[in-house]
Amino acid sequence: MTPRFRSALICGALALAGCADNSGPTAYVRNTTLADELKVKPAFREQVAKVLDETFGPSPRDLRVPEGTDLLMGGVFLANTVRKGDPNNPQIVPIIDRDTKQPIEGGYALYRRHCLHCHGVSGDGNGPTSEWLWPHPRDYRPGVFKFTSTAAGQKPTRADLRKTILQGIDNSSMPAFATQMSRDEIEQVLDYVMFLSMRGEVERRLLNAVAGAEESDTEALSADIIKEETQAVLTSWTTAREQVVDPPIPRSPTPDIDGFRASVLRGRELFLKQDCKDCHGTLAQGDGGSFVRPEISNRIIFELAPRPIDERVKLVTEEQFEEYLERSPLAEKTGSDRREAIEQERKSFEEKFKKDWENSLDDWKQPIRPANLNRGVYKGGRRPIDIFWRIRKGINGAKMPAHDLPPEQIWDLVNFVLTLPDDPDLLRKAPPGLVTPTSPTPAPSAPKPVAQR
Amino acid sequence: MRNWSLLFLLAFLFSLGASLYGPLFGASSGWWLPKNVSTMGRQVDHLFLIVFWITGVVFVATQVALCWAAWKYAEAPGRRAVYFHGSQRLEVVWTIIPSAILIFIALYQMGTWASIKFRSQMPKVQPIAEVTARQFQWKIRYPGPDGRLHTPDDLFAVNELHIVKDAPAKITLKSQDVLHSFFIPEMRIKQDAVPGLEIPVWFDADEPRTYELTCAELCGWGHYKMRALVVVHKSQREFDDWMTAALAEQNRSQLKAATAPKAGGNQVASALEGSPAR
Repeated sequence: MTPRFRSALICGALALAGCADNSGPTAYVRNTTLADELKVKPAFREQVAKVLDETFGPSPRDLRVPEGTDLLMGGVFLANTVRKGDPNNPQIVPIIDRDTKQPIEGGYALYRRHCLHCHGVSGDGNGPTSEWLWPHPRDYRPGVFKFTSTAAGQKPTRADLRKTILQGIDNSSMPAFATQMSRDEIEQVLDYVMFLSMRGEVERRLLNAVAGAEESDTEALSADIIKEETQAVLTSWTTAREQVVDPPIPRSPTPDIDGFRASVLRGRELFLKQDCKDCHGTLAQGDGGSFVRPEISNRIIFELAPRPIDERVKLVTEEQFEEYLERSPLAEKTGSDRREAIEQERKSFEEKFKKDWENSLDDWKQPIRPANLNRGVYKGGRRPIDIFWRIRKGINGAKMPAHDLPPEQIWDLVNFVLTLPDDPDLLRKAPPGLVTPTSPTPAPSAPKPVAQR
Repeated sequence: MRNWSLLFLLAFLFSLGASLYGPLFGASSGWWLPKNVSTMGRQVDHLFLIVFWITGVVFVATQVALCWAAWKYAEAPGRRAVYFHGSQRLEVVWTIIPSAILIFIALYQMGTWASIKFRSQMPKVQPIAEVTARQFQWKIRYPGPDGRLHTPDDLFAVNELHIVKDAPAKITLKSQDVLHSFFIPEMRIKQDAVPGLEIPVWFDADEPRTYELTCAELCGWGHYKMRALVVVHKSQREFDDWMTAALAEQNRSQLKAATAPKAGGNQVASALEGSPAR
C-alpha cells in the first residue's frame, strides 16, 4: 500500500463517515396500509395526497392550517416562523415568545426532538424506536385516544392530552415530559400532535370516501366531500370540550368514612357479577377467558420477537396445535384416516386460534391485555375521577367497554379497584357464592363479545 | 528527534492549564463542581480535593521528568546507547511511595464512606419516599399522612422528589428493570439502583431551591429523559402544604372540586387548617 493510496483511503473513509446520515429531509408518509385495505385506485391515492398537501401543507417544514381548528391562535405555534402579508409574496416572520422575547422552537421542532423517534413523522406510531416497544406507540391518525375525559368514542380535550404528556403513561414507554419541556413548549407540542391527528384522520376519511370507486368516477372526491370530511374532523375536536363527563356525585364513600369497607365489598360483588372478570380474570390478574392466555400473549409479543408479527402468530398456532393434539383423542388414533382427521382438526383449530388472537387486538391491530388490577398500575391515572372515567366510558380503541351504571355503583367499583392492590385477599378469599357459576374458571380461550352498553 | 519533547511539554502545559482553570476560576466558569449544599458533600469535596492535589503534584513531577529526560537524552550525532540493568533501589522507592499514598487515601476516606453508605451509620429517620427507577423515569411514592409506606394513603408522583431543608432525607431506592443511578450533583450523592435490591440512600440540602436529579448510568435509548426535579422546601410546613395539595389532587373525584382530606389529627390536616385559602 503506497503512502499516497493510504492517505486517499483515509480521506475516503472520513468522507463516507461524514455522509452517514443520508436520511434526507423528513417527509410525511402516506397511509398505504389503509389505501391497500380499501383497494383505493392509484389516481385517487394521488388526489388524496394532493388534497392533504393543500390542506395541511406538503411537509413538516411547510405547514398549512385549515380554518376552524381548535389550535392556539390558529396554529401559529406549530412552527417557528409564519407567513404574513401578500400570499404571492409573503414575508417570513419569526414567532417571538411574549415573555422571554426569544424566538420559539415551535411544535414541529419540539415534536421532532422528543416524540418523532417513537410516534413517527406522520404520527403513525412507526418511528425508528417503535419496533422495540410494547405497548406500541400511539398512531394518531385514526383520531382515537385512549385516556379521555369526554364521552365514549369522542375526541380528548386539550387537558387530557396535556396530562398524558406531562405525566406519561405508567407501565408503558410514554415518558413524563413535565421535566423535559417548559409549559409553553408542551402547549406547542400539543398543537402539533392534534394537527397530525387531524391530518391523519382527514386522510383516512378521504380514503374511505373513495374506497372501491372507479377512476372514471369524477364525483367520488368532489370539493363538497373534501370540505365535508375535513369539517367533520375539525368539528369533532372543537366540540370535545362540551362532552366532558363530570361525575354527577363525588366519590362516596371516601376511605375515611365508616361505610367504605361496605362500598369496597359491593364493588367486589359488581366486579364478579358484571362482565369485568371475563377479561380481567376472577383474581383480576388480567387473565380472563375473553383474551388469549397471558403466557401465549407473552410468547408472541416478547419471546418470539423480533420476527414479523404474522410469523410469530403462525409459530405459536403450530405449537399450540401440537400441544392440543397430544391431549386429544386423535393422538391414539391409528390407520389411514388419521392424517386426514388431523388435518381437519388443524384447520378448525387454526381458525379458532386466529379468531381468539384477533379478539385480543385493539383498534390499531396491536396486541393488548386486560390490566392486572392487583399491581396498582393505572395507565390513565390513579385519581378516582380517572378510574371513574375508565369504567363509565371505557377506553377508546381498546377492549374496555363503557358501562352505563348508576354513579353510586361506579364509585363502589372505583373503591374496590383502588383497594385491591393493598388487599389482594379481597378476591383470593371471595365467598364462592359471589362468583357466578357460569364461568368459575373460564375456558382458556373462549371468544366472547366484549362490547356492552 | 529532540523536538518530540517539546510536543510532550505542550500537551503537559495544556493539561495543566485545563486542570487549574477549574479550581482557580471555577465558580463563574462552570468548569468546576457545582456548589455543594449537603452536609456529607463537604467531606466528599474535601476528599476530592486531596486526591486532586496529590495526583496533580505527581502529574507535574512525572511530566517534568519526562520532558526533561526526552530533551536531555534525545538522539544526537555520536552518542551511543548504553545498556544497564536498572536500579533496584529506585524501583523499590517508586513502588513504596504510591502504595503508601494509596493506603493513606484508602484509610482516610473510610469514615466518610461509612457515614454516607453504611446503614448502621445513617440518620435514624423514616424514609421520606420510595424511589423506583424505570426506563425512563423516576417513580416516587411518599408515605402520605400516616408516615408509613405501602398503605392506601400513599402519594404517587413521577420525576418530582420533595424534601425539607436541613432535614436528613432518606429514600429507598429500587429499580424496576435495569441498572440506573440516582445522582444529585449539588448534594454529592450518587447511588446505583439495582433490580431486586432495596437500597437506602440519604442526603440533605441547606439551600431551599429546585435541583436536578439525573440518571448517571446509561440505561437505554431514553437515558437522557430520566431527569427529575428535587424540590427542597424551606420548612416542614411548606412541605406539608405541598403534600396536602398533591393528595387533594390525587383524591380528585370531580372536575369542579377536589376533595380535601378530612381532619384526622395528622400533620397534613393541621397544615391544611393553618394554610391560607387557595
